[in-house]
Amino acid sequence: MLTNHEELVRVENLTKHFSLGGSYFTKNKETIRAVEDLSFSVYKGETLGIVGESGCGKSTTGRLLLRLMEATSGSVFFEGDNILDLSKEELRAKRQDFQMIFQDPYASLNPRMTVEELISEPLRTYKVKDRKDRLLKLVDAVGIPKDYLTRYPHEFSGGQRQRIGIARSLALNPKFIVADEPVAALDVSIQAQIINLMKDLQDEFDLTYLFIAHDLSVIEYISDRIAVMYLGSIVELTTSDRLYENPLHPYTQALISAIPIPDPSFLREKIKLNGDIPSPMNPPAGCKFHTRCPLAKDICKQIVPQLIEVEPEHFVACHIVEESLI
Amino acid sequence: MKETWRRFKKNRFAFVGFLFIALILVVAILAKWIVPFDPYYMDTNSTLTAPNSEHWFGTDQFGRDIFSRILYGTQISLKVGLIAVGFSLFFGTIIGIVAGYFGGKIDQILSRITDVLFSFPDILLALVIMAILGPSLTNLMIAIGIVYTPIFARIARGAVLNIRDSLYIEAARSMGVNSFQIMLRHILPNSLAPLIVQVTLSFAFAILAEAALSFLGLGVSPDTPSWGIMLSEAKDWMEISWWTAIFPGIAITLAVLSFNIMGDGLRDALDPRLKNER
Repeated sequence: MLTNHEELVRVENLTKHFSLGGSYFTKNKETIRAVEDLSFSVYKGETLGIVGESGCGKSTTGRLLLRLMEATSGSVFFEGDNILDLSKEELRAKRQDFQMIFQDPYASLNPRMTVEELISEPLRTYKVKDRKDRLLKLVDAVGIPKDYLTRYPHEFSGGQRQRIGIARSLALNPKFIVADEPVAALDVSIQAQIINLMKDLQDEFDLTYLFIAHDLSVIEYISDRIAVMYLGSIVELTTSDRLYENPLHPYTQALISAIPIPDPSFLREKIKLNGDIPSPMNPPAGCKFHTRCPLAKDICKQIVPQLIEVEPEHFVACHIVEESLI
Repeated sequence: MKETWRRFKKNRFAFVGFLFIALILVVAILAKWIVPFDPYYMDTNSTLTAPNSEHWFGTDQFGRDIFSRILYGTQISLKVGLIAVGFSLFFGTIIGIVAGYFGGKIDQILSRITDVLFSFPDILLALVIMAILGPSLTNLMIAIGIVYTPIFARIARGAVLNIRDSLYIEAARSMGVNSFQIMLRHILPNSLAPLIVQVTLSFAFAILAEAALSFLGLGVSPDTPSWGIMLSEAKDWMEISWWTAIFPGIAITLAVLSFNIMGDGLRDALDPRLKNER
């Protein structure tokens, strides 16, 4: 578990709106509010999990943090520097410190490059010396046999490809890694291998992870703290243990109750959510969850709840929870 | 590269094409020493002789040996094909990749320029360019090159648009690879296949365009042994002497066919994903 709370990344009021349509002739542009006013910190050495339904903005958040996408507003401080303010050159230099592991290991590797070329590309880009040594160390760390270096990605299984992707993201000795659903495209049997590998590598290379997933069991297993996202906002953020033992936000409660338990005799009350996730094009006013919330009151429809610390290291954005405290 | 070559050799059909092109190349280099007659020499005593043991492919209306002229013709055809297509491949690919990769205003400007070039009929555009540059073999090659540049630009741009938003491009960007490197190492190799096929087609067109322009008096001088000129001249005589037209025609057909099948084989060989098929 965490011993210190030194901040590595601090996100403040991060917002991303995509505008849709709005060509020359139609002036009424529609806006998708993918990420809205997000604030959180990632501590050195931890794994912060981000979980949510598809379309809730979790992948967008990951990309915004690495500035693979320009944010609409807000800031992302990495070791004190606002990444979103850096010039092109400064950003390039900084990129060594934060890397990404992609969801789809089939699409994220250039099909015309051999394993060796793929993994040494970042090394060449930053003119690292003794590339061959580093390369061998990396493939050894992720468990790819040396004889496979001259092969192409299509000759590997999904799990092996993801190992290649992981080796590549580790090449420059980064401090921070955003893993965007790194196991979602893999077989369940392979998922555990990759997650364990990521855990081992975290110890070996002193890594900090931002782990994005939609699978609650996967995220529980790897994360120290977990942020639950709904329609572009964080609704609950706390340590992994507390989130599963004592979820406070009604949305989190519903999610947790939906985790299948491999015991047919175990009866549990499932909280069913009605309706679909609303469109991020015109999200509901007030609390965005009120349309599906079993506890919603009038106040929820009018005022946006703020993320408040209800107990140490436990943040919730919900009027009902807030009221129950008073 | 070794791997590509190994895969290419496996494809017999394409390999035959390659061998024939190699043969054309050798003939072009050695033409001076292997021709049985001087291709410029007019033997007025034996005009339009049918193929015989002396003149294998017969003689033309001036009594020049057709076989020798065809061997010499490889030089012109290869030269025009290589330089004109090389020109359009080089500039077209750069324009297409830059337009496709950066998009926005740059794309708008480059695409509109290629559209304008595209809107003229091939030969007419080549004629205009030749009229500006003046008739010579070099200018002919430049003119054909300019005419075919928009085709390569458009194909390259289309291929780039297909892969620009691929995850591996984003991955490269996330690792700090700069735009130039991304275009060179990721985009170019992955958009090469349709360009290679187009090279083989354009090679054929270039050989034909050279013939047409030379016939109109804007290319090489009429006495030069070029397959196109031979064919054009033969049209007046082919009713009484078929060999004047048939042999240059066969030469053009074989050369064009060889380039096409070699291009197909090369496309397959360049794609590692097709490796174990066939």
